[in-house]
Formats: sequence, C-alpha cells, structure tokens
Amino acid sequence: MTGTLRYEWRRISTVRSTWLLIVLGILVPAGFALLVAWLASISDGQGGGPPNDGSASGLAAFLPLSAAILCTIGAAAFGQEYRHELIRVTLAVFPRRTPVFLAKLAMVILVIAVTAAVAIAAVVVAEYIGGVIAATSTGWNTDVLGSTGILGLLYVVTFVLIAFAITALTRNQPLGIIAPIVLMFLVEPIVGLIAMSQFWTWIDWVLPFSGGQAALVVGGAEAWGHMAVFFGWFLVLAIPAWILFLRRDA
Amino acid sequence: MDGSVRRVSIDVESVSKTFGSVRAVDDLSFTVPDGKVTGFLGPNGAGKSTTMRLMLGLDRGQGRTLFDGRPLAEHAHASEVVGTHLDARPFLPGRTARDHLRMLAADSGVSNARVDEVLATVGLTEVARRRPKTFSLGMAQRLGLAGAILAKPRALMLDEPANGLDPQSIAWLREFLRHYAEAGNAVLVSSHLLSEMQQMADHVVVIARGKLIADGSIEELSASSSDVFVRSSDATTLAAALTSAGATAIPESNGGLAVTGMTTDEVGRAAFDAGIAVWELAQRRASLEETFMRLTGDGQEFAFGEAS
Repeated sequence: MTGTLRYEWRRISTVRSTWLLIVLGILVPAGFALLVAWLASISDGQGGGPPNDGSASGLAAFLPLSAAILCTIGAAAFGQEYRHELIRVTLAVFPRRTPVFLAKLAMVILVIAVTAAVAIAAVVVAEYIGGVIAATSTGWNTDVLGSTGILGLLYVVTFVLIAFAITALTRNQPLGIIAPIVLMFLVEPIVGLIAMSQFWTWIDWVLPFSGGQAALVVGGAEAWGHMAVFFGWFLVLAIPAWILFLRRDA
Repeated sequence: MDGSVRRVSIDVESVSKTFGSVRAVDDLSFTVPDGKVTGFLGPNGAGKSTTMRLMLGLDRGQGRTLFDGRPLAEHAHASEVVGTHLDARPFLPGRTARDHLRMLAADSGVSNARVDEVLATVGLTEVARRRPKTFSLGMAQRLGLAGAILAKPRALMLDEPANGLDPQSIAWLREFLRHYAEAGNAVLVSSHLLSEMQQMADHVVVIARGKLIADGSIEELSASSSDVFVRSSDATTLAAALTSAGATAIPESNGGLAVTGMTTDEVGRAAFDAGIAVWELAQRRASLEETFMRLTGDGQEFAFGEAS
C-alpha cells in the first residue's frame, strides 16, 4: 500500500495543474469574501450579500467555489488515467486493484482536506480584513475552529469525492467535473424551486449538493444529518465504481 | 537442448477473451522462456494486444498467466517481475519524462539515479525535463521502453515497440533486447516487422483469430515451410519416382519440382536410381515472412481485396 500511495502522490504532485487548482481553490473563495466585504463597505452596509463574519453561512457562500474548482483534482484521479491510457501502466505496476482504488481515494482526501483547511482559514482572514475595511468587524470569529470548520472541510472533501466517484464510475473526466457543478448550480436550484412550490420540505434531505450546503447553514445535529446524506451520495456512487473497477478491462 | 531444465519465466495457460459474440482470444497456451527473445506474431486483429493485456490481468477473461509460477498479482513488486510497454504514448502530456519515470519508480524503490541512468540508456537525457506532449512517436516509444526496464524486471512485454523508430533506433532496440534476454530474462515482443523479428527473435509464437498457429524456434518454423527444388531432364518421371517414395512433388512453372518430405540427398538418390539427369538441386529455406504468410493465410481478420 505504501508503494501505491507514493505512486499516487507523485502522480498528483508532478502535474502543474494540480498546484494551480490548489492555489485557485484557496484564493478564489477568499477573494470573493473580500469582494463581498468591499461591496458592503461601498454600499454602507445596505447590500444583501452573504454575511462576512466567518460564520457557517459565510462559509456556505464561498466554499462551494473552492469545491467546484478542486473537484477537477478528484475527477483527475481516474479521469487522467483513462484519458491518457495510463491506467494500463498503473495496473501493470500494481496489479491488485483495490489498493490502487484506495490509494487514489486516500490521496484525494488528504490533498483536498489540507487545501480545504487552508481555504477556510483564508476565507476567515479575508472576512476579517473585509470586516475591518467595511468597519463592520466584530473581531475574529472562532466558530470555524469547531463544528463549523469541520463541516466546511467535510463539505469540500465530499464534493470533490463525488467528482472522483462519478469519474471512476463513468471513466469520463469532463463528466466528473461538470456533473457536480451543473447539479449544484443549475439542476438542484430548479428542483428546489419546484419543491418549494409544492411544500416538499424534505427535499434538502434528498438532494446531495443542497443538503451539503444546508449542512453549512443550519447548524446543530441537523447539520450533521445533512452532511451524512451528502456523504451517503458519495458512497452510492463510489461503491459501484469500486466494484466496476475490479471487474472492468483496463 | 542440453538436458537441463530451464526455469520458465512466463506460462500462459488457456487464456480466452470474448467481446460480445467475437472470440478474440481462444484458449491460448504458450510459454515465454527466459534467456530468449520471443516474437509474438499475428495478422491485424489476431488478438496479440488483447492476449498481452490478459496476461497482465489488465483485461478480464478466462485462463491464467504465471510469472515464475505465480500470477502477477501475487508478487510483492510486479514491476520487478515484468516491465511492460503496451501503448504508444502511455504518459501524461503535461508531466515531464523524468517525473513520469519517477512516478513509475514509486513501487520498487528505484532511485532517481536509476531514473537518470535509464533515460541515458534510451537516449532521452537531453529531454528528461521536457513535457512529452511534443515528443515524436519514436521518442515516445523510447520513454515507454524506459518505463518498462526501470525496475530491472526479469521479463519484458513490449507491444510493437519498433513502431515509429528510425532504422538506427530499431537496430539499437534489437541489440538491447538481445542483450536483455541473454542476461537470463524473458522478452516477449509483438511486431508486424517480420524481417526485424527474424533478426531479433529466437522463438516465435504465431496466432491468428485468437488461436495458436505455431510455437517454436525460427529454425523450426522455417524448416516446416522449407522444401527442396530440383530441375531435371524429365520432371514428370522424377515426380512419379519421388511420389512413389513417399515425398510430395509439385511442378513449378520453370520446369522444376518443389519437393517436400525428402532431403536433397534423398532427392538426388531417387533421380540417380530413375536414371534422370539433375540440372539443379537445392534446399530452399522459407523466410519468416513466407512462413508467416503460409501459417496465417486465411487468418487475417480484416483482409484486403485483390490488388489491381
């Protein structure tokens, strides 16, 4: 397993785009947090944007940007290999497929968790600076050191893992990148509107990305329930992907 | 044979693969001995690449392949057992050649110094830190070969490694593979370049439509397609004499006979006994290409029409 992990680390770390995505995954949400604070300052606090106080709802506004960028890293774990026929090279070096699957999974989790932690810290710092600029600062918000931060981190990791699982299942990297983004920004909001008109209050407990974002907003035990549903969607996709990976031709 | 038992490096046992209704590989069994270069021949669509993937467990099918008596997956470090080069461009265009090899080295603890050594061996030192998206096919083949030999495996499996190489590179590859085999390793090489294979391989496995057609040394295969040519004063009478002696004699357009089932000495003796003057008598050895064409004549998956 050590060899497969080392292989995965070298696979992921020797491509420039990985580092570019990591930097973007940190700077883009932080940049938006600053932008929102600046907009709030020039509108004398009359703006209706997301809160910039480092709260869970603040993370809910900015972390999806990070997740949407970083999901390319998750999709590339398998997508890059199938796209460039590297999977045969990989499986010739490591003929046991389950360790290969687990090593990819572990390395994506590790890289994304570290990146997400830094991104959350960057958002908090940006919100603090933004608060100072807008003269609305209430000081450092330490919520992120508790469950809010953990939920934010889990949200980004699970989002990326869904991209990982979709690509592993379909062997199609563009689909693995686009599907989560389209679901989150387009499909689920439309379904949510329909659900709202029909008073389907349970809908957040079914839709993956809406549930994931709800986990960052609602707080308490309910947040963990939403996060469990979000992670459950990853498992629903990842388990058949793993079984197919064992059975398919490379 | 010297009577000693050679250690068998790769045993292919009854491997089969079906794609829909097409039997791509049909109960194929053969051995790739160590110390020799084994050529893997067959027409387009014969199932060579599929067989190689089945051997490595990359494709799922029936049968099994043992590397030194065990399936590849049971070896602790597969890259030290068999090095492979199956696809023409098996690398990420955006990862440098050196980093690609460092990635492959992760399993067996191969040092960076070995990576540089292998790059020098295949002549890619100058482009080691370049991204291979601009590599020619020949350079890509060299990088693929570098990856295959990186962990000094006991066996090599190369699918059409000479494609895209210039004559000098092909000559280099031939020498390299011969030396690699002479060091006691098993080398399996598929190729369409039969003249090249004739110079490179000691042993050939020929398949067509997924089935084994021939398995033996180049000499054995050539001998099976060889005959004796005899031109005489009376071809008809000589043909009758040879046939009655158990040989097969087929008249040729130049007045001679193509005789199989007899040596030159035996044909000469039969002509002498029949009182026929012999103008020309020679052993004709078939080239690998002629043998290949004879063996696989109707086994081509996608045959051309008549040449106009």
